[in-house]
Amino acid sequence: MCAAMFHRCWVLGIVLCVLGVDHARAQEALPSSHLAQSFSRLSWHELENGMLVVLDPSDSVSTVTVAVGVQAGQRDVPHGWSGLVHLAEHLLFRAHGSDTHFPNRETSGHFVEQLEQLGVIECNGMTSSDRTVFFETVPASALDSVLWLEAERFTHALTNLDANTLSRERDIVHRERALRDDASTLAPLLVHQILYGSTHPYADAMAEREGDLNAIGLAEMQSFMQRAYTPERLTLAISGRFNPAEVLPRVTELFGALRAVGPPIPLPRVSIPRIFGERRLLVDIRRAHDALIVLWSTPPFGTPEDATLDLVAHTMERRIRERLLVRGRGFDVQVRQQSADLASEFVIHIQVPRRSGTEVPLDAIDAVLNELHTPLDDHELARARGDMLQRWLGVYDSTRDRALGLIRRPLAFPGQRYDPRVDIARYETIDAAAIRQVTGQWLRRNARLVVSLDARPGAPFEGVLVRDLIARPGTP
Amino acid sequence: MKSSRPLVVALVFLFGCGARRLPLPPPTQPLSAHQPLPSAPPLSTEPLTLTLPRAESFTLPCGIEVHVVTRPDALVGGVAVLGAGGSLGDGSLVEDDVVLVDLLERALDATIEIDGRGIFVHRSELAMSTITRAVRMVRALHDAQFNEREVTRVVRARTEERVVLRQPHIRASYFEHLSRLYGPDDARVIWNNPRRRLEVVETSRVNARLTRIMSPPHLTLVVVGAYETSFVQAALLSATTSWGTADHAVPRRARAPIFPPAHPQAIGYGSTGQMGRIALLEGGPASFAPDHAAYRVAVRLLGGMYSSRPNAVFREERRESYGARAAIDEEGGYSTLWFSMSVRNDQLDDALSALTSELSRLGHVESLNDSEVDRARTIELASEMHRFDSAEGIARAILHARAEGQTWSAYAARFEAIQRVTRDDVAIAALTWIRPTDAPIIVIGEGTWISTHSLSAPGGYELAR
Repeated sequence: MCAAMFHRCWVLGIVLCVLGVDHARAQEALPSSHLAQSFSRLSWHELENGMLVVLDPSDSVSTVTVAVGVQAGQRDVPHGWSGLVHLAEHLLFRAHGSDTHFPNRETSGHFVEQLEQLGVIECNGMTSSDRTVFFETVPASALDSVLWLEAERFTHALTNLDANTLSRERDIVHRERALRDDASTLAPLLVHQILYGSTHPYADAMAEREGDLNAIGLAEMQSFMQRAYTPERLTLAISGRFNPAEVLPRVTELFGALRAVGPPIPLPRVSIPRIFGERRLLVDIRRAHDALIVLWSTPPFGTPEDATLDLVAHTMERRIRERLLVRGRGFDVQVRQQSADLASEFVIHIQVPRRSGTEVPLDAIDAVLNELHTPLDDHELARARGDMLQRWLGVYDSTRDRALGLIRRPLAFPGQRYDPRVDIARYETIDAAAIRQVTGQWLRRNARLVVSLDARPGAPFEGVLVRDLIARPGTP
Repeated sequence: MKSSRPLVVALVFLFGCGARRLPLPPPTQPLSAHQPLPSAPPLSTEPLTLTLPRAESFTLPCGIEVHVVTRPDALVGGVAVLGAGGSLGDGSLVEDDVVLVDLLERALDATIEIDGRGIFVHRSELAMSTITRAVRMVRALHDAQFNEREVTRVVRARTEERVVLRQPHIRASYFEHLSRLYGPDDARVIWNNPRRRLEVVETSRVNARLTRIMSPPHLTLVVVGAYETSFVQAALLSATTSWGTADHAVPRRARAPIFPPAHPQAIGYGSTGQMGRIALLEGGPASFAPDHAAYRVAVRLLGGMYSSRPNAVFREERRESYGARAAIDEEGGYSTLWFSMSVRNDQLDDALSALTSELSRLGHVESLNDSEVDRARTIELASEMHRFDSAEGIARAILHARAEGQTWSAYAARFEAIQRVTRDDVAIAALTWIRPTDAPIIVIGEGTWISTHSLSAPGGYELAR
């Protein structure tokens, strides 16, 4: 009786909603309460050896993603050893188990082949400036096997390393490097080196030099992995269908035996490089199109400013595209707050037809920046938030994306533990005044790099700097 | 202005040479202090099973068919629509559809796709908000009409975009690749033609097309969210109660492609890249055809898993590639297979030969071994399960089944069919659908290299003019 009554009230309520009340604004608000509900079963556990375990169970899926994050990225590689952390990632991804458990390891011991027998839907290894990640999505029934394989991977990573495997993976990294050079990245390496100078941990973060890679031998790899792949730098996240009460003891049993042999590489500190004046760089580069890149140095991931700039980037991209596309003077407009743990970059990248110049796109950028000095109206703010919501929804409906988010250890988060609820709450407090203030503080015309990429057939793939001018002085 | 800064260039150069490489500390001995795992690797012997989400359906008085999937504990839901009153290639002007899709994307703030089955609309939403979104979407579709100014704006933007996009070799090669798969007059080819002229688009025709495609009797709506069917039904009934049931004549369905043989089979294109690429497109069986399950397993073997031969040989053994990939796109009444592999420019000839050999191998049962087929089948089954793990995946699956004239349970039948696939089935499906000498291939290589080397393919090779 009560249930039926409740049901009718609900139906009536919904009917009233759709008939008369405009719920557009309510829909476009960010969903912290719903989000909190969705992550109500999320839990963190620290093992005795310092490894962090994040459990994110769900009953609405049939698969599970296991992700292991290592808090060691390109930022942790000393000068002259670029590619070391990426090569380490390849070696672990293609690792094999111990002789004890896999006597015929060359034919059956590789983890990828083991995972395929379990029905792996997706698996990969990835390296960024701040971390290295390994993950696999499998049917829920394969979780125990996958946890065992991951533990075996980290247990024998060092002792199974041999020169032949190192050489093979180095060649494959060379192939990947060439592909990456061919693709249109937001800003070429030399622009990063100018932005970060020689001492910042990100100075070499984009680099992967042939000579550096070739110099890496077994001893260097062992030395690096001993100091970077320590238990306290590891985070294991499990997202999908599983029972936490059964899984946590198993994780403790399998991963609790990992031990460090020495002190880890110290964690770097937040450091935002400063740009004095507007520096205009001209770079000759071998690629299909000319491009304009405008770049600012901005606060790191997890800060309120970082979230605000993310929203600003979204708004600017739409406005610049509208200004340029209908005039046929630019295409593939990308505006991103490239968030990272030590410092972020706000990057505008516009591809333009060859020989048409970069002045028109730069004028469009400055016009849009001027517009942002007047507050966004409620409608535009709601629209931007609605688009952000779409992005979140895509992430939170995928066990892979949830697990990959949860292994992050951002320095700006409380306890360096990534909590989606804290993350999304940053966006809910953004208002028009914050956008105006942050834009004025961080996207100044006299504190940026303006890079014109001149596509030339004979130029190097990595680009060569042909002009560097201070067009607008800035205050130190 | 200050003068240029040669010092910076010099520093960059010095860094580039690795001149400051300092030695790393030697590794500590023993290398590892980890304790070996106490147990042997556990084997997962549980057979994979598919549990389809419960989908309930009803038809509104105006003719809209509605499917509701309830996910009570999920944060994310979605709303999707199939407008089957018209489809790409049904005889209407393709240029009109290009503009219509753009306009609808703006009007509905959703992802829009059109193909031989009709127009697909999808938007993710909070599971709690799906009813409101569903009502807004059907209302917007019912009321949508576009004025001259909106149409002109889209035509201008897309035309100018075309001017600046026409140069890149990859886009041009992709377009020609499609043209060789489907034939030059196919609607899919016209859709992708960088030289198509949108000036022929007329506002009245676009609006008439929209009305016909989205006429209620041809609409299928899927709501995946937090609500039971009765809630969704009540809300949609209220919103559409005054709508008529007027039907519009349905144009003939898109013609099924005939996949003419591509001769010469492979075409070479010059690029500026350090790495070359080989890509293949091929037609395949419809999603629920009897041999589709075996065909899926064959495509896994070609490049849908890490241990596929092209990946194992060119990445793992020869170290000349970053990897090979193959996958299936499900279309209306047929499917397409695409394969892509990056490879060093000077290895393109070998890679082309290895690809065509692999296409032939898949059609010979004695060349296939049980363990690779077992692995491919298991991955395929797991992927089928994964399809229903997201709101968008569920919504798309329902609409795809409806577009193919199937019910929801067709996926369960297909899952069982995959479980039964044998080596013989794989070989027969490959022999039937994958043409080693006729499937169109493109080879993209560094400009100078590709223009001075003649490659060989069983169905012939030619350099693009």
